[in-house]
Amino acid sequence: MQSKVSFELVDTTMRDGEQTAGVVFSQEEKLQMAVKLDEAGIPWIEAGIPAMGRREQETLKEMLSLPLRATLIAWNRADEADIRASIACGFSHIHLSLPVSDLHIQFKLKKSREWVLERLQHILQFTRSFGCTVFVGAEDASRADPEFLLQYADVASRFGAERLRYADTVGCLDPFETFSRVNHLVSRSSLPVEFHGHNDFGLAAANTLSAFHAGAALASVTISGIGERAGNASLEEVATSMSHLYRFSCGLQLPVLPELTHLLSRASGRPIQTYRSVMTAMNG
Amino acid sequence: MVSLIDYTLDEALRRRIPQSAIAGILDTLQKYNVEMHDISLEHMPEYRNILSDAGLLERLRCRAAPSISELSKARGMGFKKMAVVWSNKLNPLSLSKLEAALYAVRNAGAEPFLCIEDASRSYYAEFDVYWPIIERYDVQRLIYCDSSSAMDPFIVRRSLMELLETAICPVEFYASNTFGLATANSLAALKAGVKHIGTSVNGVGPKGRTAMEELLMAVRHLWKRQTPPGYTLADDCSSILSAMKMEVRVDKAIIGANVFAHESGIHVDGIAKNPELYEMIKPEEVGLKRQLVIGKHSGTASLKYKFSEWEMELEQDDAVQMLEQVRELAEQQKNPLTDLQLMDLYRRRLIFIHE
Repeated sequence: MQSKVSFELVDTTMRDGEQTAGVVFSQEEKLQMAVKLDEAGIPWIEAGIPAMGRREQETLKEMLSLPLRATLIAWNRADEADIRASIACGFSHIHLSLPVSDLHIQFKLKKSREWVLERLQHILQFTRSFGCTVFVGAEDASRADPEFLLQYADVASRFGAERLRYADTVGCLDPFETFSRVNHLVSRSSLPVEFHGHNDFGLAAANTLSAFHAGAALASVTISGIGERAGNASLEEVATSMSHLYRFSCGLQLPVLPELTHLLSRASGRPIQTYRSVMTAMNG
Repeated sequence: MVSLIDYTLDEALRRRIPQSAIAGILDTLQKYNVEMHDISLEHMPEYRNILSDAGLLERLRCRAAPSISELSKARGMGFKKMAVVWSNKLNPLSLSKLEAALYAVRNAGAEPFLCIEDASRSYYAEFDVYWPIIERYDVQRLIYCDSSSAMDPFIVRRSLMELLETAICPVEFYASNTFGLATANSLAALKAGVKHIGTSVNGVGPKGRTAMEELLMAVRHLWKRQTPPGYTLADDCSSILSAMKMEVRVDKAIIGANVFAHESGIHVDGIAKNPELYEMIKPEEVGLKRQLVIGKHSGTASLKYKFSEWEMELEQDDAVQMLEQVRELAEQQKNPLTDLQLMDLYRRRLIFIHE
């Protein structure tokens, strides 16, 4: 089992987390979360979607003005208007996402694989022309043809992306599938891979650990696993299990995590998850 | 097929639920391949009456310390299956104590099980001392517990594969859920060839357990292996929990009320085109319903889709204008819009146009 010593967490509570049906964070709550995540030592914060509109943009500008060590990332569709909105806010780190499974390409985009690769190349060149650092997301990667995913990664790498996100969009991987798929990608692509897991079968944290073993350089998490449907990999679970099982802290200050748990619980109006006992264990 | 050892009842007794609620819980669990219910002897004094049901007694396994006085209490209650709880940390010299306990179980006319509490902290060769004893007392099964959540799925699979090579009796796996890895670890145990897994509904238990609904549905839908169908699973789990005065969280994997709720514009647009885009299984597979939530992250396609459900057509211009109002209102109230609020916005727009 190969393990790399570097493994960084990307918090997407304010992007994927806020997309949870029925959850809205106020500007004040978002700024508090950003400060607290930074204090916990999270190096990357996916802050939101500037294309959402004026109010979201105001919040994001405020967040960019905070004195944080963490790098803030704007989430975008592969769309020029989206990218422009992010740049207008002042973002220098841009995440752009395209679906890679035939299911999504055919039914959602109503396009072809070729179209996806051309679009990726075009939008990468466009975004890079502003001098931004660009990360590329592969939506529904877990249901994509692995060979097409490699082509996608190749275009991403050739046109200047610095990271590839492998999204298990519907949470359909188990830890063993996660290992073999992420390992396949890591061993054939030069880009650092970020694993993005969803919790539809209760496997998101375990899959994230598997991705770590498979050589992923980063993983997306959200506070308390908040996210669409059954949520995402939980920051608390991933961080504490890595720390307990592998004696590896991911560079985080674990004592700050309970404060994040409480902050999220207040902001989302959802009680702290007692059935996941790591929360209870950490919060006494 | 995976066979389940249920710990929901154990947690229900620990929470002191009324005796009248027990039959309902047990009936419901019968749908899900529950082979037996493991319960701790310490909860039993208040619930002795349930043991008068001979049929139920056959399906209960009493977990007890390896002491003659505890085991004779279990004998007095009439248990037919007894699991002796043992720790690998104990001095090998104390094995005579284990033998005495297993002898007492046999002497009571019950089937013995050996439960190694801290199995996950042990090297597989350490189990070699148990095989002769297991043979001598015809121990039915070795229960391998990861009580301290010390394992990840790869360690579970490797450890159990090694153990199964030397095991002379079936092995059962039980995981606690301190770090949220219990379901994954139980899948790993199945991969290793273990057939019996300890679970509880919603993963209830002092340190959490493998959630029954997650394990069954992962095996069914991710591995395409046969398990009992889940058409009433969400209701069944929530009624069991409510008998224990607990609620299912809205985002609980598989059975939460919101696991088929969609709000973000991209997702609702996708769902309208083909639900498979953002749903790995159909809501009816677990007895839930899809919901479209209109809120801050809605897009114009969401509004149009929502109105089409009401058999109304929403023009693009109307959708764009309404969307701005929808987002503002959702932010203001920090909540999605109710159907009534959405209709209200729409009507007010019409009045405005007619003026």
